[in-house]
Amino acid sequence: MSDNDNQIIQLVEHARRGNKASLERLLDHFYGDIFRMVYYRIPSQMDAEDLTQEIFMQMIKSLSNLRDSRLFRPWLFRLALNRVRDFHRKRSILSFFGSTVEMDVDVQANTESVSDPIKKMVHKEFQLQFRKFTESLSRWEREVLILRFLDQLEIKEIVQILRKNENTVKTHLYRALKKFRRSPELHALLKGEAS
Amino acid sequence: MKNQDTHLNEDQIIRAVVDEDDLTASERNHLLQCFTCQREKRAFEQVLNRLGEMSEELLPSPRRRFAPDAQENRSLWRWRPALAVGFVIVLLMIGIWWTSFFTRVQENGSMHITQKMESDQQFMAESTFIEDYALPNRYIDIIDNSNNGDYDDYYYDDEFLEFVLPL
Repeated sequence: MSDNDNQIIQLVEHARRGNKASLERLLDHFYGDIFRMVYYRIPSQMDAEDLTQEIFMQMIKSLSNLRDSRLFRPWLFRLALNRVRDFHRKRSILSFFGSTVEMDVDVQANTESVSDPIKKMVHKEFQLQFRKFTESLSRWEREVLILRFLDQLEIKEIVQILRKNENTVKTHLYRALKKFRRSPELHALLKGEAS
Repeated sequence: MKNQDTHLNEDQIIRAVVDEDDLTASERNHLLQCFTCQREKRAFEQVLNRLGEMSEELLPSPRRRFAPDAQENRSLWRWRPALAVGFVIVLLMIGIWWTSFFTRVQENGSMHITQKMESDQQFMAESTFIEDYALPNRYIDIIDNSNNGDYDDYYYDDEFLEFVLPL
């Protein structure tokens, strides 16, 4: 276990005992990770911000229910994932009544804040290609791939978050990667960026 | 040529990226020794790492900072519609109670006035009766009351008057 992990465990322990400073440090530490996790599942900055705040509110309320402080990170991500699912459920109910155009509008809105035109173009292209690729995946393939390479979680953590068998997680990841290699646009975009 | 044939195929490279321990012992050995396969695996990992890096770089910075206190206030603020509805219901209940209270008071008031009027009427009737029949009963028979109390039309017998007031 790294020093960083030990520090997080300490912060969680103190925050559970009501230490406000530790709680704030925990928020600072995980805010970016959770915002990114939400943002790449909900392509709307405003919704992602709102949802991130709600996730942290729920984290503060439920922190006393966490039995093992070492499991804080997967616990927080699981909590966030559940909130994202709730959001999508609500959205699918809304889309049933005919409001599905917002997603495309949001790609425009998300890139508007970027001032550099080249970066703006890359940003827009990445978002479009990434969404196109993730839409071609099954729900679990998408979930595992994003958790592994965007949220940069270990397989063991993903197992805890999704409460699935390790082999099942690996199988989903393997299938997602196979599809990723057959996704020429996104692959080329990343390769071009990588070279 | 034999070495070329034993290179890891795409599936094996992907499995190696997922978890190197999932490869068989011979595949792992090959990967340890073969620079081509190592390069292939590293190139794929770099693309995947780039995916994570790009997602990080292109992530917009949140426009507002999380503030638990503000959120608590906001959560109270979120109850605003419910509070407004509650307030309106309370107002309506007060209004209904107030109206029924006044109706009851008005009904009680009109009943009281009616009772008072009835008692006044009864009192007036009694006083009128006393006024009409002020004399004891034995004198009343003497008075000719056949004209319903219209005194102007009373007929006074001269003999009677002579008897009462002798000239």
